[in-house]
This record gives sequence, C-alpha cells and structure tokens, in this order.
Amino acid sequence: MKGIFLSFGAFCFLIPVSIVAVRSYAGKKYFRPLIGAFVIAAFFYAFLFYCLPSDLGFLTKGWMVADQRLDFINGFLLLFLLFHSYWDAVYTSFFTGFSTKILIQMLRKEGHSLNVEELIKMYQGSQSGNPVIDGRLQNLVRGSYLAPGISGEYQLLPKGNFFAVFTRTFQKILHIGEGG
Amino acid sequence: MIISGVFTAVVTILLWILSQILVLGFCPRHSHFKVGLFLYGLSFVGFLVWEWPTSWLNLLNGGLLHILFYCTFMEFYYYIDRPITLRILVEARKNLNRVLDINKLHQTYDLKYMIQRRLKSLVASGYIAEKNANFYLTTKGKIFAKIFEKGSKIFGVIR
Repeated sequence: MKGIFLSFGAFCFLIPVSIVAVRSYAGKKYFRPLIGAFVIAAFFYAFLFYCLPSDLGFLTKGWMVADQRLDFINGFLLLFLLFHSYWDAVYTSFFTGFSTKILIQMLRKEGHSLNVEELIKMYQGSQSGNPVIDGRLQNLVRGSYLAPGISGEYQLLPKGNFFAVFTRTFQKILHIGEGG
Repeated sequence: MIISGVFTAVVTILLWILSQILVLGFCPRHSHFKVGLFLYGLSFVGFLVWEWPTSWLNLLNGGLLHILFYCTFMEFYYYIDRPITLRILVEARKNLNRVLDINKLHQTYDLKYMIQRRLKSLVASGYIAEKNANFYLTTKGKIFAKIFEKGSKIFGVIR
C-alpha cells in the first residue's frame, strides 16, 4: 500500500511540475517537458519511498506489502501508467487535438456556432491550402521518416517504413481499417 | 501477497485483448468501442472471480492495474487508429517504389473532407449539433470546450 499511496502522491506532484515545464518550454514538442516532469516525479517517488517508514505512520499490517522491493516496483508501475494516461489526456485535449480545437473555435465564436466554410478559412493559409497535411509532412521529413525528392514527391525511409508496417499490422489485427 | 493480483490483472487483460481480436472483426466499425467496453467489463468480472476471496490490498492493487492497463491499451488503439501522420506513412508504403503520391494524399485528405468528417464524428458524440448548415455547440460541447480552453490556458498553449 505504501507504493500505491506514494505513486498517487508523486502523480499529484507531477501535475504542477508538468504545467510549469510546459509553460517554460518555447517549442512545440510538448513531450519533452512532459518526460522531464515524469523523471522529476519518479525521483520524488523514489526519494519518498526510501525516506518514509513502511507503514507511513498509519497503515496496519494487513495493508502492508512484506517485500519492499516488490512494493516499490509496483508503485513505480502505477506511477508510469498514471503518467501515460495523463500524457494522452493533456496532449489530445489541451495541446494538439484537431477535434478539440474545433470545439474551442466554436466556443470563441459569437453564438457558439460555425459553418464548414468558416472552419476551412481558419485552417487555410499554407501553400497547398491544407496546413494539416503540410505540418505533418514537415515533421515526417524532420524526423527522417520521409525524404523530399526533386519533383515534389516524398520517398519513404526505413524508419518510416517500420512505423508504416507496425501501424498496418496492428490495424489489421484489431480490425481498425485504414485509420487516419 | 499482491503478486497474484498483478498476475491475474495481466492475464485477464491479455484475454480481453484476444477476445477483441476475435470478436471485433464481426462487428460494425462504429460499435467497436461499446463491444470492447462490454468485453472489458467481462474481463474485470473475470479478474474479481479469479481472485476472490483475497485481501482488500490485493484486490485494490490488481483492480487499479486492470483499469490502468485498459486505459493504456485504449490509448494505443487510438494511437494507431486516428493519427493522420501514420496514415501518410501507410499511404507511402502502398506504392511499390515507396514514393508518396502527394496529389493522391491531398485528394484523400482534402481539408473540407477532413473537417466534415470530424464534424460528423462530433455530432455523433453529442458535442455539436447541425442546423441549417451551421454547427453549434450543445450543452455537453460547451462544457468540454470550456475545459479544453481552460486546460490549454493553464499549460500556456495557444490554440
């Protein structure tokens, strides 16, 4: 139980740390400050685990794990899983989600209403008129997943091929379809 | 003491994943989430039955892990289902010479089509409603939009 308690404690600590980290980060790769916050929270968890007594001052014997190492690993696993769900939630809700952005744009508009044309205008502006695709292509080139050719085409690189195979395999196994 | 609960949580989650692989192929795409959730419920009951009787600590720890494994798997499911980035890579791999046909991509991902698809999905989820070609936020949509806006502000992210 000590590990469970402390993992939740460390997770509560992680939330304000991640807010400060993301706020002080100037770039768009938000996973960097989030990972930094997790590392700090993991050290905080380990520090508390080794400093505090096994019963935390209030746990009865029935709520204590005899093997301290097992308790520590179990708590760390919980912290990691909590962090992973938190990461996913904040990323899609507050950082980058396409659907969540549409909802925010509607909220800002008078009458909380928009039509398709108004939404298209908000997203247009790039050379091809599709910034959603352009931004992703730039990221894929930067990350060495694709290489731009001379006549505007893009060549799939080994790293991109690996992720394409991985994605397609799991899409088939889970009957997802083509995704996107 | 807690090892048994952890083991059972892992086994019942793996059985749940296996049951999804076997069952979802026979269900329409739009019912996947509901069917998956129902199967997850069965898997959680399976965990409780398997472990019972046991200590409250074991039950709490195993149950917590079971729920978090479910969340993690669902996140993985959406990681490979939703991202346009991964679809671009899959599209590039379809060609024999592994070259991305940019015109075809723009046709597949025409901005108007993408926005309409998301709007359709938001209408189906009850966040927005359509009236005379206009889309407006429902009460549920307003609540969530406010949460998303506030959250973005707290993190200092401009959207």
